[in-house]
Amino acid sequence: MLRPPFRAPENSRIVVQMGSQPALSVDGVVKSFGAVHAVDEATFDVEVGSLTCLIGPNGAGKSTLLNCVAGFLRHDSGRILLGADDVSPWPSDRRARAGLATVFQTATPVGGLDVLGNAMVGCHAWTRHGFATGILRTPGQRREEKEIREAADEALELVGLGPLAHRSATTLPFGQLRLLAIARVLAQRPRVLLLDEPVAGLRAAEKARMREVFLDLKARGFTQILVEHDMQFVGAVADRVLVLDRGKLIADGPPSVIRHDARVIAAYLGTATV
Amino acid sequence: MNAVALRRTGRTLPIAAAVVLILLPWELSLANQSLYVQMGQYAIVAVGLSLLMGFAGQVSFGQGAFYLVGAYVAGVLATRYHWPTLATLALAPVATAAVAWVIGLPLLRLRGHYLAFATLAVHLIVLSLVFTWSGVTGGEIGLIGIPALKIGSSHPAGATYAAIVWAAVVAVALVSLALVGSRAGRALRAIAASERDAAATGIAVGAYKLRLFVLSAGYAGLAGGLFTYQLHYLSPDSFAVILSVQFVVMIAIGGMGSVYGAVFGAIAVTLLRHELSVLGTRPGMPLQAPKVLAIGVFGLILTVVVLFFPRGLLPALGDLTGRFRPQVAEIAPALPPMPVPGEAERAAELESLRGPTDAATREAGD
Ligand SMILES: Nc1ncnc2c1ncn2[C@@H]1O[C@H](COP(=O)(O)OP(=O)(O)O)[C@@H](O)[C@H]1O
Ligand SMILES: [Mg+2]
Repeated sequence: MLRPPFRAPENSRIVVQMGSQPALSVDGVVKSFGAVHAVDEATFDVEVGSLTCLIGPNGAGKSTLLNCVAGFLRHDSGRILLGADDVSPWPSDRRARAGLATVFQTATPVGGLDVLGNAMVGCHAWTRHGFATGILRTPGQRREEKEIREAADEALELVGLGPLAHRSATTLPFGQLRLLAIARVLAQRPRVLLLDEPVAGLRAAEKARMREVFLDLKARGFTQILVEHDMQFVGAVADRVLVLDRGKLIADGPPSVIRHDARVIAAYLGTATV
Repeated sequence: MNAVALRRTGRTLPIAAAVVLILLPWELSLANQSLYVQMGQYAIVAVGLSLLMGFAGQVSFGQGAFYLVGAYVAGVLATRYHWPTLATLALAPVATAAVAWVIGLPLLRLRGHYLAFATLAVHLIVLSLVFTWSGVTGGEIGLIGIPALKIGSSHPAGATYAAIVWAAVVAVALVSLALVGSRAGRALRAIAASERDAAATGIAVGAYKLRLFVLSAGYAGLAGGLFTYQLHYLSPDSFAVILSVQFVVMIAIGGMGSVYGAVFGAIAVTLLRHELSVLGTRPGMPLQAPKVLAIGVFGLILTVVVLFFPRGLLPALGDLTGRFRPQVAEIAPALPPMPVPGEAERAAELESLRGPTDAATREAGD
């Protein structure tokens, strides 16, 4: 069964290991574009196995923060730790190989490959055979290829795309493409999943399916961070909500508490603007 | 039919085609043999360029430069330094790949049009080096007296040489197909789809693009070496910039990322070029006619393909002949982004945030 590499004991559903190392630490991260402080001293830890939603008004800096964590933007100061490793100087592909998986809103399927092949792309992170052994088809390469296929199959089962494994990926409808993008990063065997607005543009039934997937992943011990606009969805899946407003973290807590936080309400209504 | 049987029948056709292509020279006239050798050399270059364009999204107008480097490496070593000819033929792709690696490091930081122009510049620079180093390369006069290729104790020529060239085409095609079907091939496809998503999957985008660039240059270097031992004479005239354009036209016809398509494109363009030169050298034609005709026709083909058949001429024909499959997802990622919530929506979002969770669950479960 597909599980994240570093996880808690078999039976603990939601893992909040008190005193253990966080899956991800964002420590005083600053990112400015000219005079705009898109992310301003953001500091938070993410527990292993938790599902955290990052919300905030448009332009609050959510995507910027996500891109800093994933390594697609270089932050100006502060540190980003994946487990014990300070990944701040690492490029995005190295962070991905270390276990940070990112799903962007526009996850483009890989043309010329079927659905299974697309999921197999995700296995790149933990496999190693390159040009030479790929061309020569060495026994080791073929063994690895089999392992890749199995891991990809498993990832597809997890999001419910198993029956479509041999369809051309580019013919999938929008909602299933999102699921495929998630399968691809699951095949990556990630320690932390970052998702940018995973339900934006989906219909109600597709959202419901997505919610099941996220809750299932949570039950399996995956650590997930979602940037999300859809508040109903946030309320339905999140253990914890982080609220960003003009680059600053203004609230942090379970959804039930965040709903009544005066600063959050002010930020959303725009009354916090000076 | 079970999977194994299906795979076997799926292989019969390519194997038969390979055998026919290698044995064909013995059925050809001497003049056609030399045209056929040229097709084979170009096919080798085209397969590499097709991978480069289709899998790494890099348009190179510099493959002619690598073809030149391979040709001169083999020719100079054999003629001036008296290396064994077979060794120079083996070294041609390796040396060319090394050159590509060195210039690829800075070059591949460029994209799109910039990369296309930069590779074109590489072709011009390499050509001017041939003139500059005339002591070694023979400059404008050319490199003469190149020995015949010697394998064991025989000197393959005519049909045998053509068969060797096409055996090399088959080998290059096999290597390329194996690569495409491997982990590295998937990584390259992922890069072609989205460099950002590829990096997010842990693929070292720059390193992979460089490796493919080097491989495609190695193919071109091999083809250049085979050119050297076809004519036993090298001159810069054989490597004009139109050659690099011609390789891109082959891909425009055969389609990007397709090994078979590249071979087809190479055959088609070589025949076309031949017909154009026959036409251009008819009595009464001006001296520049063959060159002008080639530039005009290739320019026209490129323009038409880029405007109307961006996937290539051959794939477009494939679509017409009933192999059309709807490409929904090619449209889907381009769907308009979700509207950005304005002030009113913010309030609504807040409302939904405050709403009871069980209501949200019920709604989402509809
Ligand atoms: N590449 C960029 N260049 C300049 N400004 C940017 C860039 N990306 C984001 N910003 C600015 O940073 C702020 C945060 O943007 P963003 O992270 O996209 O917000 P969110 O995702 O929360 O809507 C905005 O003011 C935006 O205009
Ligand atoms: Mg955003």
